Amino acid sequence: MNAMSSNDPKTEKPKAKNTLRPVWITALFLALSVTLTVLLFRGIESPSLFSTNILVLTLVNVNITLAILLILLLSRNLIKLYFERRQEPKKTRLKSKLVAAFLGLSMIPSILLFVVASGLLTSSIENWFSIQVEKSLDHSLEIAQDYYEKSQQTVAVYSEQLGRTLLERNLLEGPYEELTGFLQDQQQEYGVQGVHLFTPVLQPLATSVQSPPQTPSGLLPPTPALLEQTAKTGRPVTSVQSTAQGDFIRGVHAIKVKNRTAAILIVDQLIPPSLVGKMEDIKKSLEEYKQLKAFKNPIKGSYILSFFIIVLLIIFSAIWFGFYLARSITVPIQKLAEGTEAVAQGDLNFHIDVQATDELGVLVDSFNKMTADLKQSHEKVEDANQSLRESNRESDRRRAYMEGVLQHVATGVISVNEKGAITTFNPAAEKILNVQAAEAIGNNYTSFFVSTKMGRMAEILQRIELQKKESLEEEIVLEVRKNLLTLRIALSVLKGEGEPLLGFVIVFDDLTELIRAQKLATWQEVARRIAHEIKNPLTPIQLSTERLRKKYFERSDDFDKIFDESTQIVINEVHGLKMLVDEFSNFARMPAPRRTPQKIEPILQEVISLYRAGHREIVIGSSFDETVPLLNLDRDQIKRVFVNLFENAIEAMQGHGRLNLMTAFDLPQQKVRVEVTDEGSGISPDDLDKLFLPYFSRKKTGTGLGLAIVNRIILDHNGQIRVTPRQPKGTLFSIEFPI
Amino acid sequence: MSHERPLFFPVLVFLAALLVQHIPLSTVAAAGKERIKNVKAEVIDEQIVVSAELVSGFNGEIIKDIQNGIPKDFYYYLLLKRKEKNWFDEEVLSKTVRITVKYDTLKKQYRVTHFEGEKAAESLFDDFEGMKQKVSRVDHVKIAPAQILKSRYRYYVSVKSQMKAAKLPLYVDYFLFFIPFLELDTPWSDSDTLSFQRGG
Repeated sequence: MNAMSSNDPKTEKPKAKNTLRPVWITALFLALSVTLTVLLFRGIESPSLFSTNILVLTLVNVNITLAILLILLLSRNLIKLYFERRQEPKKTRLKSKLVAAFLGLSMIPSILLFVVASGLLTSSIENWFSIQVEKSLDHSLEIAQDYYEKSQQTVAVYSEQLGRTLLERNLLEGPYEELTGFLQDQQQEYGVQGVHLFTPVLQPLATSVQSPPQTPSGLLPPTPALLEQTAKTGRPVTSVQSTAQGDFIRGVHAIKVKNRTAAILIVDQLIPPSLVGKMEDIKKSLEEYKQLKAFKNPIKGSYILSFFIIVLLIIFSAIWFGFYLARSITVPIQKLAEGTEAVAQGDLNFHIDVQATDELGVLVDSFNKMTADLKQSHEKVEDANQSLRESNRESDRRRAYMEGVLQHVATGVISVNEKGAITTFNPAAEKILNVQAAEAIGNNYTSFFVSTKMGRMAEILQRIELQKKESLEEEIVLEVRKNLLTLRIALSVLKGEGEPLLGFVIVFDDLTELIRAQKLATWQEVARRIAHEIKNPLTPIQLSTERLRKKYFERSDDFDKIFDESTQIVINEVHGLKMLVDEFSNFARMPAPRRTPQKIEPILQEVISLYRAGHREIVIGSSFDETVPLLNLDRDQIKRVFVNLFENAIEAMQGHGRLNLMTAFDLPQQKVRVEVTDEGSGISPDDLDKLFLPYFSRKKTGTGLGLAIVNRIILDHNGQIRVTPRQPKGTLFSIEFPI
Repeated sequence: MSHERPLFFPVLVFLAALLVQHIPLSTVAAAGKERIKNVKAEVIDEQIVVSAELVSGFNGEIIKDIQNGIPKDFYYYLLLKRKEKNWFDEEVLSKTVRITVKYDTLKKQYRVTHFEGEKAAESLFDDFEGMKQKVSRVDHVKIAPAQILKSRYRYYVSVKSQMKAAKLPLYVDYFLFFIPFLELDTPWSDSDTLSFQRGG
């Protein structure tokens, strides 16, 4: 297994190689020393210029240090483990247990085996070198030695006897034939291999050898030491000479006459090769046995030491394996623990590089995946936070912008939360209502405005709540600082996702001055138009009257005719004026609408029916949306509106063409739209903004108040009317009613 | 297993080996009374000849082994050295003489073989003392021609004797790594400065 934390994984294999390198180097050193030791033991004896003493000892003893090394390594690892356990007991407990387990499991049987094997070996070796064996070999050698001794004694006796006989019979001075015959007789009688007689200077005198002769040609003469010894003592001396034909037991006797060596007598007894071989075998066996016995203890010691080394190797291997196994388990666990701490402290880059193929590897992989996922999630959260911060900054900017807008806009803005408490009260609202924001914010909207005698402001909120509308627009008149203000209020419901109520926003403008200006302008325009309308008939009245005066004073003949014409003109123009005044009175006194909830379609159908019957050349089309809800309408006034629009459309189409009427319900806007389209001559773009002003008309006849009345009625219904030219011709009138 | 300082343990092993060499391991104490004495180096007939004597080379164990028929090798290392003033003396050349002694337990004879380079000479002794005399001496061993001597240098001869355990039967020696190799080991003994005619 391989561990990072970044402890690098990939480095585990190189680390494993580094761990084994000292072992390999040490093994190489030892192998080299053992090889050299073996070579030296094989007898390479070339003396080096160096001191062989130190080299040999070094090489021999380095083998002993193998055991020392193993003990050192064992001790080192165990001591290291001991100190690790003292310093970090929790982190080394498992390692200690594993090592102890392996040590115990290996040591006990190994030691038992060692003891038993050593005991067996010792007893076997002792048996090899038992006294019985040694005694048997010793006795065997003694027998062989006795045989040689006996042979030597026999040869010595023979040579002494032969020497004495030669002296007694004076055969040394006698004829040669007698001497050789005697020697032959004695040789045969004694059964020896040969009898040789030499002069004192080792010149051959006589010889008798066994037939067929087996004496090797290279038989060595007796050594000067032997000759000296026999001459000194006067007694035969024996020696053994080994040849290819066997061992010759030689008895050398210096025959003395009057203390002078007269001749050298040699008696040879042959021990045949077969016997020699057997005795040599006995000797060799004993010598080898003795040699081995000399090394009995070293042999025993070596074997025991070898067993000991093997036991140490087994124990060492067990401990090493225990360490290896412990490391393979504890290192990943430690790395996991480190990783857990690192992750807990926020380091999500922590990665465990432990290569393993077992359950721990699965655990490590799971951990790494977990940290990677955490890191990814964290990054996503960071990104989300970043986005959120940016959004917040953007929101703050927008809020600041909105606050700036609210602070500086001329429109009053009041916001109310879902509990009805005022949360926003901008400076424009303060100015318009003459109320400080600090007094209003936090208070209940309804109770606040009721208490400040601005109940109309509270009523609109109550109304939208009652009517369950999304928005509401109204104009109200409010007394503020003893002044009556006309406020255009737009109230909207604030809702979140899933339709929970968030509150309300009330936006209002002070239309007082605007209305005043509009009224002034309108009255100015009305006055101008009235003046114009009044002036129009006055001119013919004036002209007619002046004409009449003129004809009267001229006493003209056609005075009657002129009088009739002029008075008729006056009457007609006065009638027109009267109509104008009546219409104006009607317009001025137009009553407030009496609105009731009803459908608009029946009203429209009634108007359609009315005009279909009377204008068969006009094609009146209709399209009614069934989803159009009930509206608060004054039936008569609404009917009057569409009658007026139809009249204008028919007049514009000059009695023939297509007239369409359409209704639609705009749910998002909460409005009902009614459209009247015609194919008439259309309206000039310059006249569009004056169309609904009183006394504006492009018709030859009419008061010019029709569309003004229509506009007034629509406004009284809180609606809105717009006119749009159609292409290629025609006009579209679009009326919107809030629900 | 330590994975740091990879050369630590091999070095430790080697140092331990160097140290352990000073531990006496042999029951046959190599550090005994044996000495080389009477080292003589002289130029005779244009040859550098060396004589030396081993004293107290036969301890009880060696005698017992010999008499049990175990062959023993006595090595005599003869080094010709050149004296240096401010440095270690230079070793010019060396020669080894090996004397093998083997007692025939059957015939009760000591066979002494004298190896000097390619030459070998064998002697038989019936008595221990004769054999001991023969084995304990190197007599007029020629080590080099005198021409190698340079007149501006001073030379001497160092002699040392060792006895190694003989080759064991049955390949036992392959297992006996811890048997002390040397049963006898004398310190170096130096001769007097070599006298020679400085001709060149």
